[in-house]
Amino acid sequence: MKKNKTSEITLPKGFVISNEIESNYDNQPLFKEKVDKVNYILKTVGIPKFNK
Amino acid sequence: MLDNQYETKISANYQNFEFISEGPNGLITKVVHYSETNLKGYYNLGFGDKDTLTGFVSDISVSNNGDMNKVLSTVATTLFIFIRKYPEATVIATGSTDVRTRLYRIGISNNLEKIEKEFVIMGLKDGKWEIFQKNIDYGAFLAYKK
Repeated sequence: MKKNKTSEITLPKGFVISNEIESNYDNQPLFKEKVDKVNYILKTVGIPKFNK
Repeated sequence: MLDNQYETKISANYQNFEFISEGPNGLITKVVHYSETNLKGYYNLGFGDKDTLTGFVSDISVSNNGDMNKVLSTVATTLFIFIRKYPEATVIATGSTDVRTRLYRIGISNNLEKIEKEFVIMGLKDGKWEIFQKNIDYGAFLAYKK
């Protein structure tokens, strides 16, 4: 996957990059059940036909 | 982009977003997190409330803070930002409960015209992905950049 295709993006007003957010969730797997659910959907249903 | 959002902090990798909901039940920290699934390039959109004492994030809590539209608009805006940063990403969202899934549907429906300018939105119904339509109950939602 291509990351940072545009290294700088324009953020809408009120949205700011904050270094304090980065490590806030290192000690908990956020939304693991949701991720498992999506993994199950991708495994059983698959992905749609894209025009990407 | 959408209108009427909360001020939001973004992690340097653009995968974590935090904002504070303000309403009759006080100040509630909301967290949006994009985590990659087992399929490369496919991300789960997670959204929940953060307990300010423990730091634990729950996606089943109901805050009833009277600002649903503003919260959903803010979450939708994180999607714009995330996909601008990761333009090859496909994002999937599921509700932790039927009520929350319905909330996502309302949030998408309320902002559909603006969202569809940048994204293809699909819904999962009867085991198949289809182009999102208003007023149809879906079990999951998928978005990718046009």
